[in-house]
Amino acid sequence: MIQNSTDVAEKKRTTDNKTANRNPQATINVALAGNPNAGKTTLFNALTGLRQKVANYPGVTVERKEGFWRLDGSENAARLIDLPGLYSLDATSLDEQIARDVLTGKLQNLHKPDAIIAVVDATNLERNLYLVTQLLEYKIPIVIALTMVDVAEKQSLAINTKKLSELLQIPVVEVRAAQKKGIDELAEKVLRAIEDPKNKENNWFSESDTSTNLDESFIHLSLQDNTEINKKIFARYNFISDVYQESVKPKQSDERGSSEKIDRVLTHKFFGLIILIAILLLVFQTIFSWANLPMDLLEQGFGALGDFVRTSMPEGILTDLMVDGVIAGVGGVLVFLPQILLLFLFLSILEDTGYMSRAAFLLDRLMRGVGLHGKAFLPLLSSFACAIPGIMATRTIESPKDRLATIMIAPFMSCSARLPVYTLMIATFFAGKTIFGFLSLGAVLILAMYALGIVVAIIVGWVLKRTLLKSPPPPFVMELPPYRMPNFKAVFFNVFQRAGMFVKRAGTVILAISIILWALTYFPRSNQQSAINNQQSEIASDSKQQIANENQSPKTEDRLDDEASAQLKNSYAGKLGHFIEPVIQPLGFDWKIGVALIASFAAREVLVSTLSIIYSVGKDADAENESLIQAVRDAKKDDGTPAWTPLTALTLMVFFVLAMQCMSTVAVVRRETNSWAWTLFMVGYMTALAYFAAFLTYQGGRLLGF
Amino acid sequence: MINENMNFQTIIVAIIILLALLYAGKIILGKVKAFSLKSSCSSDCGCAVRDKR
Repeated sequence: MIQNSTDVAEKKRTTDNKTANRNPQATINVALAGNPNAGKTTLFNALTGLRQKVANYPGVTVERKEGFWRLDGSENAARLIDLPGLYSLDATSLDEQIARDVLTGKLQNLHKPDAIIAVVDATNLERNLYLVTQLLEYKIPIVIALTMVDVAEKQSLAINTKKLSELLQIPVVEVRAAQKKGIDELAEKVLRAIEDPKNKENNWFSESDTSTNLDESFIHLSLQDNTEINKKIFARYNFISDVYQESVKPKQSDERGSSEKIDRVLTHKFFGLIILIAILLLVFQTIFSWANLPMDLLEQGFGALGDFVRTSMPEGILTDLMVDGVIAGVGGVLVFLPQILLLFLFLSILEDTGYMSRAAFLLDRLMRGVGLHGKAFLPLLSSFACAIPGIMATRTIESPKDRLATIMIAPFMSCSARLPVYTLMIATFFAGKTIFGFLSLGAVLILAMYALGIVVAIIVGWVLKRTLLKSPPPPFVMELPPYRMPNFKAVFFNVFQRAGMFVKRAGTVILAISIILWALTYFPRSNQQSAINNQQSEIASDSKQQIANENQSPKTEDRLDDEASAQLKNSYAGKLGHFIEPVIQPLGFDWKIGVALIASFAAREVLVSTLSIIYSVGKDADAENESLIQAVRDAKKDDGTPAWTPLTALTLMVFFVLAMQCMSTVAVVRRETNSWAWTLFMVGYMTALAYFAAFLTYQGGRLLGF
Repeated sequence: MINENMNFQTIIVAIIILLALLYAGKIILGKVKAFSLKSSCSSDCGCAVRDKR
């Protein structure tokens, strides 16, 4: 595979060489390179007008991303490539390899960059310059975009950019991407750098200092045990040290940064964890209390819409589909939008202030204790929003075994798709209850579900690292970004992006699944049912005149309820639910929950829409729309006993924490592991674990008298 | 009248269900494509990692 890749790259280079003398006015390639969390993506967004995700922690970008940048007006458009964050070009991890392939022109459809913008964090200049010295060896014009100069000044670091530029022999531009300051100067310097051939000859060392062939992929320094290479590493550090001392003057070297002082408390072994738990409880409690009103309004809105459609449209199958399928299915999920918005608002604020990295630092102690790679913290952190970017973020992990172990446990982190399920269960059975008189039981339960995912992930990681994926944990130094006021523009962008994705999903995938599920619950129609439909239609026509409802005897209502229930039972979905009922009965689930469970393997939140459809279809069509919460409370098993109890709800939540119920995640695991065996292993062990844990919860709860 | 409505509604519903099935099929095909092996490692898909080691 590698050989093929190299061949392709060779052919590509030959082609590129033929077109090497391009007109500088034509479209050019500019790569954006820099250390993680140096502000590359913020700059990328400012230059291109695109909106890639940014956050105050390292490693947000693990793929190359592209956009167009108008350098000066409309004539010079550059293709801007945002590379993953890199500490070096030693290519020990996949993201470093991707960046190196871009810089050497080895990727298909992408020729070698005409210029590099090295994004350098002024607060970590020495460390950032290591990468710059490596970039200089690629013989590509470089311009440094110096970010976070204001933060450096607050830390009493005075950076002489002119001196820095002289010493490195490359242009240095101070930029404040969020305020769009320095952007025009950066464009001008990049254009000049490309036009001036001297810029391709810049080097931090003289040619005589090295005998290494700088032409091929070994242009970078590898960390092999090689004296010659070690000499170069020392030479590189000496050079950086000289540059730093001459261009940076600390005003008060003994002054401790405020971030460091705060970290003494927030990363404390004991108090840090207490503060973390308190913050999360506060967040969940706030989500519940703030989201209540808009959720009620949405629920009432969808209920009223259903009633309106039912009374406005002629009775029949289309009306049933619209009310029981589309409105109940999609509306049932959309009701949770306020909670999703609030969750992402708080997560984004915590990320942007830099606190999430501290939270990860606290958990990292636990993770390293069981042998997981320290770099696993970021993928796991990302997985709280969605496992897919989390799994992609494992590319920063060098060791394939450590990477695989992290991929295997990332889906245990409670993603946003689980939130509607948790919320439905909590709102139905645990709402309004408190612990110690002030702590919302709902918030505690949600925190417990998040904690369960983390604990199980750590245990599974421990087992994997001692059996199938045995390898020593590599040394790791975690970077804690400085605390800062959240950038509310970025925060709100993240929140609305997530909300947009949630709504889009509800309007596409969940809509399609809702329609199909409705059809499965509606068909086949029995002759008896058709007669009942006619009877229902007649009664419904009367009800429009507000007469039939009043005169309709309770006996007739009961009979219609029974017939609707029988129809649901004999539907395709009913047959499927009954087929799997023996398997899920030990978990306290009836066949209707079984149907919702099967559907939720496409996407977790589908459980909510499926329950909404099942309880809508399974009731008398003439009845008024009731909320899903009420429908769940009133649901009965075939034997007439309540289908749901608080214990059933808790069992379902435990199942959802641990089960692998997301097709998209399965697809990305297959792609990232390049292995069917590992993908199937993950789906299998997670589902088995979820079943076992749900079984223990339900049967244990019953033994305890719940 | 009711029967005519039902027939018309049945046709509309059949079309909607068919479209939903087609959309779901498209999504599943997309996933199947994502499951399949990449033809080369020249894109930054992450598939090279096992070969490289």
